[in-house]
Amino acid sequence: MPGYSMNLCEDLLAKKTKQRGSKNTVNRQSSPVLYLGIGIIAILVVIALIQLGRPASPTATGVNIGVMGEAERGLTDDGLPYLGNRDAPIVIVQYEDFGCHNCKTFAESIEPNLVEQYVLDGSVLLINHPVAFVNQQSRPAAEAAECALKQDKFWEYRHILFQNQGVVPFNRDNLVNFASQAGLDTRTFSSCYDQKLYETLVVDRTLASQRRGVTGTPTFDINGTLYQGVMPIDSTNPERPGFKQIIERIQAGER
Amino acid sequence: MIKTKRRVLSITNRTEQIAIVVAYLAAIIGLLDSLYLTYVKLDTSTPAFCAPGGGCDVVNSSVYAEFMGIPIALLGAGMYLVLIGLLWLENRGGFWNQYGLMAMLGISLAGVLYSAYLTYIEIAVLHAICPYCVISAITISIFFLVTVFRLVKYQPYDD
Repeated sequence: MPGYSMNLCEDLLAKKTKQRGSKNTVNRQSSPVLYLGIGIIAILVVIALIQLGRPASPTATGVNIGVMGEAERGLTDDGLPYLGNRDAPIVIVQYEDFGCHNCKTFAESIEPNLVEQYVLDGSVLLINHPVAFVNQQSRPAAEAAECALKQDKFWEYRHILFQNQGVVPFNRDNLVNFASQAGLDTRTFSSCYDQKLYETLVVDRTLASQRRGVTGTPTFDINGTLYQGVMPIDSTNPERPGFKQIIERIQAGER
Repeated sequence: MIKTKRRVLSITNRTEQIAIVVAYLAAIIGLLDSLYLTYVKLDTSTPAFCAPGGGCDVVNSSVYAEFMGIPIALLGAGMYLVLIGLLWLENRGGFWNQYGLMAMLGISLAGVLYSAYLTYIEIAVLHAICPYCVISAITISIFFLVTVFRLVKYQPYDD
């Protein structure tokens, strides 16, 4: 009898525990078919996300750099590429890193307007000063751009670099492929890149920019004053003036 | 026999409760992390400037950080919210008691796979690692493992 009673108690306790547990688990489904179905659905969803979200790789053959191609181009005494009138009263040195997405933003959405409004009319000389300190893409891209500069295609090559930034890695194969797209002699380019002809130059220029006070990119040295970050052409914010305000100030004789 | 059954049930319940707490923690940390990344992605008040070693900046501004114009981080936050909702609903009985864990398994598996893809993109394409993205990859992996553990260890209890 006591044994029966004990069994009954345990049975009741087990039932109670089961009931409490039932809130969490008793009705839980565990069919292997369901597991398999869920796994397949999850994989299909991820494949769809990857396929739909994958950026189209730019496949340009030949490069149209738009208004940038209309400006006079040349090299400074230090070997830096420039656009515009060498005797322009306003000199903008643009420190940029090919691994920096803000430099891409500036180059693609603001720089063409700057060139159109102030470089083509001879007001501004725009000097490009590549640096390489933002990430691992920076140095190979900067060295490759120097190799492109050697064939007088710096601006075209730079355009392609920014087009592909964050889309494909800047490894040797892609950099050579970009050279082909920019219309460069790929054999000469490959030889230049593989021999690391400009490795030291890129490092020296980066160090020089840091000595100048450049701590990130893009940075603009406008007639000796440094301005950090992407700048608009026009701005109503007095604390962050645009190129228009700074250029007008300089033209009016202010610093 | 009943004694043994009861003991096993009791231990399993405690283990499962701990597992649920771990799942909640992972989902809440993942949610906060994703919300922060979404804020960084949408915030335009800071100067657009690349500092050396700005891994998150590079990753969060890449083309891979958006899906059809929606920040990936925001989708991640949505996923964590759904997972937290399912954890809560699961305890309320009914349909979600039956299928909640299954749904969590599917969603967290998709999250783990997509996180793995994004980590590959960070390493192989962008050459930049964003610690906040790594945190999200870890939290969703923990959530997934806990869900698998719960399914494997805590089978349905039938008479």
